Amino acid sequence: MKGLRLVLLGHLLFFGLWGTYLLTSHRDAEEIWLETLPVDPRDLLAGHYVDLRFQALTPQNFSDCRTINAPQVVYLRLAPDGPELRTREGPKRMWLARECRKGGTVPPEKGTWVRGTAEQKGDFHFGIERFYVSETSFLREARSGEVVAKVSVNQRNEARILELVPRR
Amino acid sequence: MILAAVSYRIYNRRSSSFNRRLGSLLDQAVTANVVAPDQRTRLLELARAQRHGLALSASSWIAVLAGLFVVAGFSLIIAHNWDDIGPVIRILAFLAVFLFIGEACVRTRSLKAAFHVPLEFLWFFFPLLGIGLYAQTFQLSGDPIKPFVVWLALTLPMVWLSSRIFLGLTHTLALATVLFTGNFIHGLLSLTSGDGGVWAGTNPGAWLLTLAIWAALVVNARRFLPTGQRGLLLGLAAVWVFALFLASTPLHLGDPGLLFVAAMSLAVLWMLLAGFPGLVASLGVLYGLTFLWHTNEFRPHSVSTSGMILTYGLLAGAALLTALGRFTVNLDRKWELGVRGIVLATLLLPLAALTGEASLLHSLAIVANLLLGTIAVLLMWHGSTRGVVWQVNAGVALLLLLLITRFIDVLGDMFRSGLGLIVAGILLAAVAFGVERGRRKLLGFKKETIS
Repeated sequence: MKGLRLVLLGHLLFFGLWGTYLLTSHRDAEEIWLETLPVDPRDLLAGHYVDLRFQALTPQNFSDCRTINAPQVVYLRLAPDGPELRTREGPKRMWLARECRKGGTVPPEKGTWVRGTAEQKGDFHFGIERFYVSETSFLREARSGEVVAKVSVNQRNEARILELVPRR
Repeated sequence: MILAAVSYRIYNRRSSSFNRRLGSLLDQAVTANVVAPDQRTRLLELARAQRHGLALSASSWIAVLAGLFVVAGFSLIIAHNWDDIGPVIRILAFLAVFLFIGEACVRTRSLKAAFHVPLEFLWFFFPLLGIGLYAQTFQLSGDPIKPFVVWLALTLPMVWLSSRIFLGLTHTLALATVLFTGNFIHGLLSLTSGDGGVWAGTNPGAWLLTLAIWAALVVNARRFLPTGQRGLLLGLAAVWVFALFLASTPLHLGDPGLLFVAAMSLAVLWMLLAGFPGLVASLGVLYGLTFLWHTNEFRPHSVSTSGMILTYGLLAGAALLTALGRFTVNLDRKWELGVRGIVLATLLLPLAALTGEASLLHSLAIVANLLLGTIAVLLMWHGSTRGVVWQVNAGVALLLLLLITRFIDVLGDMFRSGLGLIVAGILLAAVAFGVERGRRKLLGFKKETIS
């Protein structure tokens, strides 16, 4: 009985603390805009979601991140140097990757850096590759060039997708 | 509710029939003057008092259905307003339901198994549900395996504290699935190589985590699998190692000949350490070798040094164990020597495939056929002289499989015409008839030996 209650307490603490972190980690975080290519609406155990690809987030374009020998952390510096696109929330300047660093070294304070991981197959993940949508949402059918992604980047360089905004 | 009801029925399915049978038995006892009528009544009352309310009445089923409607209604309302429910409400509601389920599970543990079992299963899956909920609420994405690893790690203490074998086996099965999926796709458990020949071996995390999962699997097997079934874990390990040889990992073997050597070594080790399932696997590999008759050459590709060393290590281990190890079945000296010889020949046979030459591959296929036939005959012989029915049946099944396969191999062309099909069918029936007669004769001989 005591052991099981301790396990239950552990589970509740885990989800309580994780939930608190998720609720607070992106407060006052910087907002950036990214052009996105929604692909493959999926319906797995996780529910309905849209897989996203970001042309702007391609670390392979930079010499530092061209060869990745093992799964490791990468940092991409982004800047609002892309084209200005008209969205439902008004005209927004798109952000592009400007620099890449690999390894565990924390990037300098200056600039907006997004933390990602490089997989051994040459894939990079920034934690914004999936957007959950409701079953009836028009976003499930969104095609390339129809939406842009509003993303928040916090002090720990973690990116979180806030919403997909249709272009006008 | 449905789970509770089903579990209720499963746990107490014998109760109503027990009462009926008890009543009938006591009626007969009264008729035969074994017990007095009032004793019958008191015995029945005692039985009912001990098993009160065990069967679900019609009204209970209606109540279950009513509960189902209410739950479905709530679910529908929540689903329709899902987007309007904020993250704080979602988290708090999740934690409240989790607390309720966990506490109810703890409280019903020693009292009501019918409610405890479904609650325990709900609790077991609830962390996974929570991870999915948080991912959906906060748009989290990334490693596809991590949520499952976290879920299994979180539920591990709960499973070990539980006395339910079924829960333990579910956890074990989930662990094995995560291991086999995670090791061969990308993510924190991946052991596969990169496109440029780079492998995850430089990331010790994946190997350490794999080791931890294996440790959990071993503990689970010791706790939840019956002693006779623990060989299954060994089989799982053999299949896992072979998958590492096959896939693009640091142990990759791109040579079909070496793959046969590895498969046979693993299967023989499994057989020597765990018995029957390993015997089936060894015969399966030997059966696979018979198809090399259709192969003209092997073209080896990349072979990792570590994979090759491990393969020869396994082969040496299997050979040593075959020559010097103790058999799990009791055999007299002559039979033991014969079996050791046959197993060694089977173990070393795939080495001939390493050359990759057509003539050797074809010879190897012929020897594999002869070995399989010899094993089938020996199984029947030993089974019939020692009165072991399964050995006779296994030998007959093996012989039949071999005959049918070679029959199709040799006379496969006959299937193209109607007349050919008829002749082939008659020949096949004759083979089956002959084998079945032989089997009956052997089993009859066994009965005579026993009597």
